[in-house]
Amino acid sequence: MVVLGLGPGGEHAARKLAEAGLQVVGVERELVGGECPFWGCTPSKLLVHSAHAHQGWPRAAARIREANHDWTDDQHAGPLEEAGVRIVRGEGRLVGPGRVEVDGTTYDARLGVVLDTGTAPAVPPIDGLAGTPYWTNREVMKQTEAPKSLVVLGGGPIGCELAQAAARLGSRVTLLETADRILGPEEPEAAEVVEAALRRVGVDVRTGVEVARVDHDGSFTLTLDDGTVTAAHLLIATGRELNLGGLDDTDHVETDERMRAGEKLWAVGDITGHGAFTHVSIYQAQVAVRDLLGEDGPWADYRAVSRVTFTDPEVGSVGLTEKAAREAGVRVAVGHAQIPKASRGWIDEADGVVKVVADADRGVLVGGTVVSPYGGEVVGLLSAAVHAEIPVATLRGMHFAYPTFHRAIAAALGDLAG
Amino acid sequence: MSEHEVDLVVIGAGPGGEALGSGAAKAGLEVVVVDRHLVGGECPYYGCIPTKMMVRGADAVAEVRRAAEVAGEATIVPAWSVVARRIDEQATTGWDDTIAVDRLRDAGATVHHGIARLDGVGRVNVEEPDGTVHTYTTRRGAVINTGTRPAVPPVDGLADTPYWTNRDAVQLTELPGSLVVVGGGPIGCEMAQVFSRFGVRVTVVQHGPRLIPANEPEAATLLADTFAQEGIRVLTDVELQSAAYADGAFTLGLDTGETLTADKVLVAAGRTPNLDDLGLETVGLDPSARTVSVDEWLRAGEKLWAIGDVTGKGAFTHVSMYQSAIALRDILDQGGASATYHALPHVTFTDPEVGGVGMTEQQARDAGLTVRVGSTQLESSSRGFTHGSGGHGLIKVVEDADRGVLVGATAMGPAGGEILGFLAVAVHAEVPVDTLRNMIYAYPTFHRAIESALADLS
Repeated sequence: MVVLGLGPGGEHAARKLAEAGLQVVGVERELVGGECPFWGCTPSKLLVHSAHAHQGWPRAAARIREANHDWTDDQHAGPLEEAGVRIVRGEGRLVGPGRVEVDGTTYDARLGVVLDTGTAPAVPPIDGLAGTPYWTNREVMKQTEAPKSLVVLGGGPIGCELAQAAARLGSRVTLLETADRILGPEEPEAAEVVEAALRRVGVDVRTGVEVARVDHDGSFTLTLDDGTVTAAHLLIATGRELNLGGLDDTDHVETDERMRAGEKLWAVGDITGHGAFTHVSIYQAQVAVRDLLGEDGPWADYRAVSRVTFTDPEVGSVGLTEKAAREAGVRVAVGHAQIPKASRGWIDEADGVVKVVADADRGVLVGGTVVSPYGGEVVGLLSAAVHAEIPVATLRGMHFAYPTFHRAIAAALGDLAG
Repeated sequence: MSEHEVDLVVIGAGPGGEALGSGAAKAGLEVVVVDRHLVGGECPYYGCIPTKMMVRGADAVAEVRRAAEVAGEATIVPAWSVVARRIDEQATTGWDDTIAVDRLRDAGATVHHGIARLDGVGRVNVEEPDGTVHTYTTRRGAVINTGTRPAVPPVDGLADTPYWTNRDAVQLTELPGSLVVVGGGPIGCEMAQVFSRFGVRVTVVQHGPRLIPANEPEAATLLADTFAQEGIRVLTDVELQSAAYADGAFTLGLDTGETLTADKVLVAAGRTPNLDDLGLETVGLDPSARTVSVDEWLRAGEKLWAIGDVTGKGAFTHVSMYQSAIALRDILDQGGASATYHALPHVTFTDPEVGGVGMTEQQARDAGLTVRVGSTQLESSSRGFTHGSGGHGLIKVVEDADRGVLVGATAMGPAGGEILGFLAVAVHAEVPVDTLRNMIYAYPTFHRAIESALADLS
């Protein structure tokens, strides 16, 4: 096997396949472990956690450096090599079915190739932007001090998490979003709560704005439709683009339920378009490994993909939003509960909302969103319900411990109406 | 003395009784609700709500003290007055139930503050504080929701001391220098940690071998370790033998021979059911029993229902509310699902929180099940690691291996009570373990550790 790209999914697949006795080559052009431990989930959560405690970018920076061993990948490469994976460092490319070339050397895989090349920050084509010292998630994780002022371009999960963390850690932050609201893929009710939370920590949130040009002269000046914004630093968080080399006229690699993408070819992770999350990549790698080793399913199923935006309050969601469910032709019923009106929300003076989306014909949940303290944990209940298709009637008959945040789910279920 | 015929008399207006009385009145029944003390019961005035405000304050103190390890220097000067003011003004409006009484009256119920006693099947006498007695005969019947009061162990001399119970603890406006907490159950542990974090020197005296005995021993051990690190002294397997109070100090004699002295003593040694002055004997029930037996519709006899702590199904607000909804449906002949308790959750709001649902491993073994257990440490998960200080905890799952479903689980950690929600739905809906294993668990959440615990099942 050749595994091309050693992010979380590729790393998992390479190790498992090697442990199963296959001869495995893992190709990585940057750090083994990928975006998540070095520039993504782990360092961003360290920043978020430090921000939650109200002080100290330098302390967060030190913990990030400690966590990822100063951006060295021995912690990831070592166990892979111990498992028998041969790691080849360099730029790999497919040169035919089962064939991968890395810097002039061609590897012929008897079984095939697993592609896990991931994504890179997408940089929008804004006049003047190229050539300026803007940051992406990569650079921001290496800062040792809070920027004095920061413009965040893009109000998705990454933009919102980092905007709030930076503001709490002492930066003056402006968040610019092209769409008419932040957190586009999430429920509008969730976006509303997060926008209010961002404003409370002083983030200047501006939606529906277009950036006409960017200038840098010691500091950044962004020209908008209706004026300018200046800041010491600029963070681009406007989405991700696929690392597919010559294949970039596609927006994802099509895979079947066994993660097969073609002859002797499997694909996992961000490039498959099923959600750019570490947990999806690892899940898909497990599926691909089962297929490669001739084991049984279950094969990939994305009905209950959950995702968490680690703002405060956290946004946890699973499955379909109301809009997505309607577009899928589902006869939709939705229910809401407001966290401030629930006992625990009131005690803790917390903001948030629970929304459940049901398929009224089948009497099961197809999606749900929880915005609350620990919303990413509360949503676990809804994930299990969507995944296992537990009837709404069964969920309503549950004991919900008092006074937890997740008890608000009972109120949302009670509110379900077509 | 006046006689009236009504549809329903609700004796005791804790959370379940209040909800049932209100629901029945809104459904058009003629309803009388009686409470000896405050409408709303223990939970909003002396239990869940004020204690969770105390916990909220104590957690904030702890988080600031952890800041140096994750964010930078921060200091806090804990002030109990802030907590006391929130409890007084926001939670209990000065321990006044006018709002709750008005809510019930607006729903159409008649409300009495007084003592209600059964007087034969379907009859209730209500004695008001001024001596007025009303006799009610009921068309549908009576509902008992009289709850519990703090139990005071029969310790030599204790009754003559000014000891505190939970009722006193939530009304404090200033804190003592030192405190002995008698009892290491959920209330004792929550209060011990809260007061300790606000600067009180706390000793917990537990007669059994471990804290929070209704939970898995692993959780109890971790909690005891946490308490030790925070400077709370925990004494297990000790009996309190004598208590005395003189010159502003308590002296407590233990069966180990040790004598403890403290400014105050908080008794949190269980609860006594309020069944002794209720006229149970007039309907053929035993007034000295610990619980009232009920069927799956909460029926306790002819024209009689019982809900809440007195049913012995779990002294939790959520159980009382759950039972109240079922009893109301029965009273209104609406049918629906009857009560089950196989997925009963409970949360101890210490830090880390301890959430449990269904059976412990030992209970499952005692029930004769083929048991497999799996567990994992929260700090070895990605999120536990990134959380750092304060991120310790554990997940333990208990499987009925013959049926391939979970019958119990424990989630301990930051938000352990929220992580528990996932496990509660799994136990409740009997989701096959295979189905749970094939789920996608969001990264990097704490609840993703459940996947590791499931993988560990053996």
